[in-house]
Amino acid sequence: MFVWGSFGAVALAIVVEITLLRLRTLRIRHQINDSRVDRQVNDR
Amino acid sequence: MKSAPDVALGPVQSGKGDPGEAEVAPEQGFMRAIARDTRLAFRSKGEVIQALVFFVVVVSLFPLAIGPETALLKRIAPGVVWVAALLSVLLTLPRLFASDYQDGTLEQLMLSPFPLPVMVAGKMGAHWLVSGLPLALIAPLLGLQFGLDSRELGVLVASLILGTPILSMLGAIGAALTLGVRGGSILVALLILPLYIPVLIFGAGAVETVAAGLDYGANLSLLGAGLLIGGLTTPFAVAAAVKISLD
Amino acid sequence: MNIYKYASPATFYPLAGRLIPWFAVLAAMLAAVGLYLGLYLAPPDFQQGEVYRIIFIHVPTAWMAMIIYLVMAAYGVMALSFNARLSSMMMEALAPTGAMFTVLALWTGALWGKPTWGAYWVWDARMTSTLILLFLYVGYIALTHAIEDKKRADKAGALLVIVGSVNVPIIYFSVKWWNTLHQGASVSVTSGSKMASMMALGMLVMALACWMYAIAVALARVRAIIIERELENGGAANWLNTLNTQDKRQLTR
Repeated sequence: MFVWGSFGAVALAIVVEITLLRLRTLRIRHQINDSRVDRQVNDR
Repeated sequence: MKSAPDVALGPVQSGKGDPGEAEVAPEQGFMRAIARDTRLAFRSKGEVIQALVFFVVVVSLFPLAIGPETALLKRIAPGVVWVAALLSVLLTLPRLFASDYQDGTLEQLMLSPFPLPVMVAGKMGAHWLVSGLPLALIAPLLGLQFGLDSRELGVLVASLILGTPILSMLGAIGAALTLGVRGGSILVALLILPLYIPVLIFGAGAVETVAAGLDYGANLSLLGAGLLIGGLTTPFAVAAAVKISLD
Repeated sequence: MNIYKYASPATFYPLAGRLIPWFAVLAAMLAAVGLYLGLYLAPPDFQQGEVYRIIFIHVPTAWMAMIIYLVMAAYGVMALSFNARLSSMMMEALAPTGAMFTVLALWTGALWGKPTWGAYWVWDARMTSTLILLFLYVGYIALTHAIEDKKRADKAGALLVIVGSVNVPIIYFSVKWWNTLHQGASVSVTSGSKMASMMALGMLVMALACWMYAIAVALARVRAIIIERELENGGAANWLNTLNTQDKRQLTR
């Protein structure tokens, strides 16, 4: 049980970290696309 | 009594002074900074006394929380006094730079003919004189309340005299880094308390070892070594931190 | 090839993007090998039974906790002495991963301590100093987030980490100073040389896996930080144009 608790915690932490990082990059992409749309609107 | 300031001056003296202005010796700036800050602190006596009272009150809380059992109190006394000293110094840290930062004195200090590390060393020395040294001087009284004998009291005072300057030095780094930052005081605690831990261990450890009838010299020597190293290095770190914060 | 070219965020960004998959794949492969060695091939310890297998993850995480802080300090020196923006960004990218490894080291240590010593937490030198290390990470993150001016936050954080790294040698020193419960060197848990070599190998492979993972994650995070800062400055549009088309597509997909 202690072994599973240890390895499981590490696996969980890795999943959480990668998910958070993924969300962060997705948010950035949205921001970039938004600014792009803004620019296109402005150009017109 | 001025072990910290004297040590802090060392490297600056050996380094190159300003050749153009031979009259401006670094130690002069150091003495001026000390004199100015001490005078300022004693002009508003309230703050100095408040920190001291805080120290006494915190230490007095422990018997009330734990009970008047003499043997137990004697055992925890070194740790209690040291933790209270740590917190008391921590509370006085904003005083180091905050008012000088607000009224622009700090920027003047950077423009002064004296090297900045010397000036901040002076400020640190003054800070110790008004908020570290008084703790060491009143500690025997508190130690008596906890049933420490004269030998232990002596080591307690020695450990505080060697250790509290390090608290001022390390604290100055945190105080300088958080100048003008929102929620600065709690942030300083977060940054600096971890760095205080070795001082706490060796300071309280010195009194504990003498209480256990062991050799306390090693603990005090380590504090002394920390004081030397801190005195030689922290003025530069604090000067760098001040520059970063004022940029 | 001029490595200094990559000290600029704009040129480092695509390089990091190309490197991430390699480190990620290496991390996964090494972790698979390490887990196979540690959980399957290595025989149970004759004293501790199966529980000792925790050290295959505990020791690497504890190493990483300490090493990442030292790497941050090294970046801090670079950030302050060369005024290198990218170094500060790397520090910012490494800090969360370092803090995570520190938490994991404490967690796995506690789970190892309960069956071995009979207590989740023991105030011994190593556990205490790892806890202090966590405080140092938290202090860095708190400071850099509290200062709004990015340039000042970078430099203040760098100075704090350099000062804090003085604490890391004290971790080792304190182990000798307080002579307490914790085992001297972690590898000495073993009995019998054959098993010891197996265990050392398993730990080494797991440690390498952690390294590769940390590098991959830090590179991914530094990419995010680079763009976030460009967006804040409002210069993202121009800067994006300096990237080649493949990187751009990858970014805005």
